Amino acid sequence: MKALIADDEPLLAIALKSALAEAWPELEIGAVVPNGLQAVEAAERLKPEVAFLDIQMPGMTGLEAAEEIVERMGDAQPAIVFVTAYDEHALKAFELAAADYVLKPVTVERLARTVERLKRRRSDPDIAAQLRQLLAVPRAAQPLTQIRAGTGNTVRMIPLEEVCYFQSSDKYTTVVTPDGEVLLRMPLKDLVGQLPGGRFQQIHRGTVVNLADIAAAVRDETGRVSLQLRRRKERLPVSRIYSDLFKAM
Amino acid sequence: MQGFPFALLAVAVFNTVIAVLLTVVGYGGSFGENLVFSQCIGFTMLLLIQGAWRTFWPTTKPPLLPFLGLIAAAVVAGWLGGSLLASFTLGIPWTAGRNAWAAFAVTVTAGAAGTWFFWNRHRAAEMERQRIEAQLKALQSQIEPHFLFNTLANLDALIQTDPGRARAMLGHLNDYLRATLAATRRESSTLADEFALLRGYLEVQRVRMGERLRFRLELPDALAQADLPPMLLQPLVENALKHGIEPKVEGGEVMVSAREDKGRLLLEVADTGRGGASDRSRGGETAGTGVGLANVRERLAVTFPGAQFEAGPNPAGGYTVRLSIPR
Repeated sequence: MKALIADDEPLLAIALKSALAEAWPELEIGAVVPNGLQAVEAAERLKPEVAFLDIQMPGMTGLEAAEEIVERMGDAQPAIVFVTAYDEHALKAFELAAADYVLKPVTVERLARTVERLKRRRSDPDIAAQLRQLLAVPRAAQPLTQIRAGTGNTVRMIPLEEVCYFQSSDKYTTVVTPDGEVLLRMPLKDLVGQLPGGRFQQIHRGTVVNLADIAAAVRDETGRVSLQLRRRKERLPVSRIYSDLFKAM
Repeated sequence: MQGFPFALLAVAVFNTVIAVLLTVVGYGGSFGENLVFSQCIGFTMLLLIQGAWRTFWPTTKPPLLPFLGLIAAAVVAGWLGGSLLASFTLGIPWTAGRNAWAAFAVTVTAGAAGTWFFWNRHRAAEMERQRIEAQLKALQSQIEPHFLFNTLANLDALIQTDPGRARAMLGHLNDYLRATLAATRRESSTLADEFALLRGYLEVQRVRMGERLRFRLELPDALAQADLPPMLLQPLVENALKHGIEPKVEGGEVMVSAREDKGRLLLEVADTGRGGASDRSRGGETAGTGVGLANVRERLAVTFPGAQFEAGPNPAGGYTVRLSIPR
């Protein structure tokens, strides 16, 4: 068995490594990396069976790294255990999503229980469903009814049903309608929480689609899913953690 | 303006003193007559000013110009209305006081003195509020679960791998906790104290973040004893770490410096981290930055009138906050 550890705090990474050596002596630590991006690279390179990912990391969080690992590795993905500092909300989220996690500072006893569970498990838990839940943005109490997009000195009002999909572009969001595109000065992450529930769906880290606009989901030979829209010609790729949402009944 | 009962009492005493003074200097009229006039005029003004203050600026201090206008209006209304009320009370024809212009002059002087008194009292109360708020913030950040648990987790790791460094980290944590505790119990502190506190904080964070955090503290000896409100710079350094260095993969450097230039004390907290102005001023996901900066700016303005506050991203990346305080 091979494992990967990702933590931006070097001492905590070492502590986890030594606790693992005690709780799971057969486990070989393939790599210890300091951020999410390197975690994704190391996972692809080493193909470990387990990855311990710290949540708070610069550049790419543990959750985002997990999403990317699932995306790139598909069925070869490792079992993922999140490592987190004490945070009431985060703990509640992990419990709700039934995700594996250990709390810092890591104790050998607590780690032993996680190891036990990892060894016992016959089939992999539904990591895609866990990640979808953990990455979901909390909804605002007052959802938007229309998009107000500023262009020059006019503000265009776009009813939500006009929107085919939203595409993230760094700090901005592109709003795609049947006849064009408008740029919003707002990150997609902030916008998603303000959309009314049930009408829009995240299908990729950078894409949120209007459910009413989806005509078909097409699966290619490698298992990747893309969406055909009713009012646009381009196809939208769906990342692996959201693919399950478009299975036949 | 807080403590309305106190204001009532203060104004009653103040009015009585004026009546005594007027009688003593031979302004004319009996003491009783002067007392009725001064109380009527004084209370009319108080009610007008308090009423307008509470109506138009229920939670804040009014801006200076409208406030001066309000005082001027209250003086005129107090002089006319108050003397009318007094004449009515005494059952004499309205005279606007025994000598109208002298009465007006007395009203203006008394109004100005009263305003000055209450304005200062309000300012003192405001300073006190901000001080207590800053203390609470400091205590909060000290026992902030993330900071504490993270530090303890690192200590736990060090105890096993490097007891010597563990002891050094405990020392830094001890320094920081002691310095913040001392700072929360004092009204004023010195640059030397503040820098000692920052050093403790940064040393602890450096053990945590490893090579990703570098820092420099520059305090010339000549400025070591300069006054500074306690914990004024700490939130700025905390911000630099949280929003500048921590989110940046390769980390960066925090520089805190003090120098003197043309009779002003210049304090600077700069970092080479992620500079995104939008992330900080808006508060972003990790909310609180905007609040942190606003809080420091407010405290600075209350403690040092004439101080300047400047914050923004550096052209070469990173973020800088500059404070300039007249000495």
